[in-house]
Amino acid sequence: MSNDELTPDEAELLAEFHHLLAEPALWIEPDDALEARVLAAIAAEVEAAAPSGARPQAYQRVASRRRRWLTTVGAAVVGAAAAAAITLVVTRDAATPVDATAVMTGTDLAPGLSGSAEVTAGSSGVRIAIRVPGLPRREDGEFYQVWLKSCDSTQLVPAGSFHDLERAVAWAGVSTDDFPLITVTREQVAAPTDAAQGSSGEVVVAGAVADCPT
Amino acid sequence: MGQPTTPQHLLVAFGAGDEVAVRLLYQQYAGLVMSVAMRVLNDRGMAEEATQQTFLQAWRSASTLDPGREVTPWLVTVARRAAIDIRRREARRPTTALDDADPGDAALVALPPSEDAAWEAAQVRIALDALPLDERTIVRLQHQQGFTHTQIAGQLGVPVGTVKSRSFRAHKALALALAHLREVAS
Repeated sequence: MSNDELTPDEAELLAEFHHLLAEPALWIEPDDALEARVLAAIAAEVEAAAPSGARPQAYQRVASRRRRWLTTVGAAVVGAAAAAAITLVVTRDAATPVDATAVMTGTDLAPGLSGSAEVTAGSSGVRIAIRVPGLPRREDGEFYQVWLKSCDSTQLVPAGSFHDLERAVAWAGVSTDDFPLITVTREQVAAPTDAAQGSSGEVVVAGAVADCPT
Repeated sequence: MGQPTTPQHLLVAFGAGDEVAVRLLYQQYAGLVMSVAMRVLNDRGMAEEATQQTFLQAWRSASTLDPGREVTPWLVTVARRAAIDIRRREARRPTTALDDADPGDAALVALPPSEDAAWEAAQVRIALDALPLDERTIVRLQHQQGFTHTQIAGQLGVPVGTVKSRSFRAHKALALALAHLREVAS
């Protein structure tokens, strides 16, 4: 048997599946119009679920990448919490149970500002609905980074990066029992091995889900 | 082997209504979902409706879905049920005389594919989607259109040897991807 021939088992297997390989339904491709309708339908439900007065970010149709898995893009976009600047929209706040609430207070870098952080624990980590209106929007390589911090301030966990905190949802794969402090810092995009990948230390708002031991 | 994995953070962000995540998840699964629906409905318009319903249901249920759970089997089930619901709805519409009915009318087709059959077909679709586009095209022309290597070469404007090479690689990959289905069946 030459190297470019299927084995008898392989040929037999594919013959068994020929009826499916020949079926038109398995080759159908959705078109861009369907993508737009699906996104619009979900956007409508997001808006219906949002508290009155909230203005969720409008969904915009983009050219569809036909059928190819985008796991690489998806992982790059959402895999590293401190890398991409994704603006998340808070949804279904009224229906999401809250385990704890922290008052977020502005530091000298954001004097007079205040807000809240509502924490909900789940099987994959904690959801942090954070709202600090009035923070100047950061763009063009600059962003805000939400952190969870241990009581002794020796350990930081990144929880998401944002343009602003008008209404945002952060996520962290740790427990607030161990990391009860919530801080938000000003950050800039940096290369993977750059020391600036860590926290800048420029805390703009801070709060605590629970008291630290004295 | 058999199905793509979805990054956990993507699922979590999808459930939160994140626009980027919604779009990524749709683009990852829309073809598969539509295939499942089409096998039940045999009508593109209704299959599109089922696809829309599937992603809406996925979003509504995302907060209750364990992010550690693989989403593909769940989506296939939701898509099949959405298609069956539409099929039942259409079956309740005013009827026409049997002789006047379109032979391809979904109402005339026997029972919808079982869950096992739907999952098997979904695995084939997933395996096809994993192929590079040039190889996938050749598989489609061979199996769906019934063309020979020589005819495909003429259609695509490439040498017959290129068609044979791509066909071999594609079928080798498909055999590897689908071997577990035969093991399950046996």
